[in-house]
Amino acid sequence: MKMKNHSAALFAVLFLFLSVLSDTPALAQEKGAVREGFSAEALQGQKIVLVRPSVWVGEQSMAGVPEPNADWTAQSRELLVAELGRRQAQFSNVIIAEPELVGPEAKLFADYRSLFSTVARSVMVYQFFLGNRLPTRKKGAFDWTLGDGTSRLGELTGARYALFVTTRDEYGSTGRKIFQLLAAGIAGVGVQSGVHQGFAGLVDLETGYLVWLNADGQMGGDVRTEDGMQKRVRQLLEDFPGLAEEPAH
Amino acid sequence: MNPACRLAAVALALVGLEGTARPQDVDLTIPPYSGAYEPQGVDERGLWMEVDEAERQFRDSTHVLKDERLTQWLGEVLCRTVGDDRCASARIYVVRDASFNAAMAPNGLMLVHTGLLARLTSESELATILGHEFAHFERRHTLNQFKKIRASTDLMAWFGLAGAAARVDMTSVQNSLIAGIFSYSREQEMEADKLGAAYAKASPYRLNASAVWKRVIEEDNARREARGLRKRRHKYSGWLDSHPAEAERQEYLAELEAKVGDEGDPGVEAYREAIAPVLPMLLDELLRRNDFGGVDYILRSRGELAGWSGPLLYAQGELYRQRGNPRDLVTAREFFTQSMNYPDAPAESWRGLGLCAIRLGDREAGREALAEYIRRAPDAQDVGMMKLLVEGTGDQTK
Repeated sequence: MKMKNHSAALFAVLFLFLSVLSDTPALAQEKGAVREGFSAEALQGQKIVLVRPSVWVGEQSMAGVPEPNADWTAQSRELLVAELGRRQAQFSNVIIAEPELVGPEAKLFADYRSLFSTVARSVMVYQFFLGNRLPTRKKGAFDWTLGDGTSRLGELTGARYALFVTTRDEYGSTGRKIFQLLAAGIAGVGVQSGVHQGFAGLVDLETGYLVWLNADGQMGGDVRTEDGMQKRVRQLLEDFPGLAEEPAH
Repeated sequence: MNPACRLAAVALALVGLEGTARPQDVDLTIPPYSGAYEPQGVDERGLWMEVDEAERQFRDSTHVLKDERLTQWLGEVLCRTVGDDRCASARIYVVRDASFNAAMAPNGLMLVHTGLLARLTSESELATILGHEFAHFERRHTLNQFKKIRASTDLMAWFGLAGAAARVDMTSVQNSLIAGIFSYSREQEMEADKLGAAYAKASPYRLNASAVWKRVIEEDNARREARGLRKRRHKYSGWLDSHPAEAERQEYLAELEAKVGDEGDPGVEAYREAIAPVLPMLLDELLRRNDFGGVDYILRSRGELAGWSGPLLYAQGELYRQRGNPRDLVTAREFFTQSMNYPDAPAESWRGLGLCAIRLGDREAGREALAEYIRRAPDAQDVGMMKLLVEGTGDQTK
């Protein structure tokens, strides 16, 4: 019988090569887009369901193996949800948590989570990355949809919009940082220490349109602290209609 | 010894080329169970967090077959195999995947592929596989593998750097480290096979593991032969194999079986009963694989070992009908007719028979069989099309 070992072992072999490859900066990468016609007014006072955010926080071993950290992840998830609620409240939106569903409704939610993830990745690869833009996206129109079946999610939750958030943070371990210095000094090779990625998207549940998406492969803010999370959420919500400026606090 | 050679020697020592115990020396007693387990330390808690989160998403996935009766039965077989205290830690999910596989995550999530259920023929075979997967959990194999990968890749990185500094090629040392990761993985699989055997020995089931691997090899041979490919060698593991070679597993498991003896329940009848309600679905998944040789082998071996049934003979007929050479239609017709001798013959056998007969020029018999199909399955999706054939307007053989 096979277990997860197989892929894990293959990954190990790839790590060294990848750790060099991943240093290539994403050239001409766009970070966000808003659907034409979507504005701050459309959002005003609406209920938004926050789909359980995908949060992963850990360390990066010396050779670049990601090491998940349960405490950091739990801490970061709490801070993220609290900060998102705080920011949206300033804009008089109501954020509600994803309901605990069972049976066919749970499956429906799971299906749309997967669909969003696929569509969002397609946007990043085939639209945001200019060098790789599909011919159908050449003019740059941000026109993506999950299909109007999303209205069922609206009925289930009473929300008009669904907010999806994903963050992944691998902090360079001490070993990784030393290795980075030595690699630069001895071999003259650039080694990246740390991975900080995130993306967030908003779906209009009535139409299924992806109305806003923001993706960044190099984000700031230490997601393990409250201050850092404020910075991270500020970056995640960049270009979010009406939320760009935050009143001084 | 120059510095590079010394480094290489150290690396090889760290990789560890330790031998493994021969089956006859294996101790088949089950270690004491520590009870409900919570992950310890940063690494283990991190890995559990990762899979816990994945399981939240996965439990509602379309890929999971939601069949409470089936899942419950798998749980019962696991409990009888590893004991009631242990089995409570595992949560079984049946995954819609026609390949022969099962997997275990460090937090107790166990995956069983529908393709596995389609290929097994008894509860005792199932017991050794569930036991093997549970052994991965009990021995914390994912955690150990994670640590092994991290340590080995750390060393690889250092050797790469040291080599660059000393202008010495370190490729062979690094290759040894990579090989070390995979040989460690194979050792864990072997350990899980042995602990799985120990569970089976202590359970009401007979230890019945080697036959499964024999059939895996024969299925692969049959598939390759049908596709005109050269047979694969199943005897030796390659350096990048995560699992021991199938023939190797078959051999040491057979030795263990000889040691343990053949008392215990084979559980053929119980398996057949438990699987009967989903068997048509399992067989249908196999038929979609475009794998004539492999699926033909699976169906035949299942018929010989666990007895023929209406759905099984129907699937055999359908396999030939779908390949569709004129001679295949003759064979298919024979299988469909045979399946009708069983009380559990599916209505689709009459459809298959009818379509083959019409194609073979026996229009009268064909229409009769199709009419019988429509009588037996009036709500089937293709009834409209079959009616056209019965009435003759859709008959393309004119």
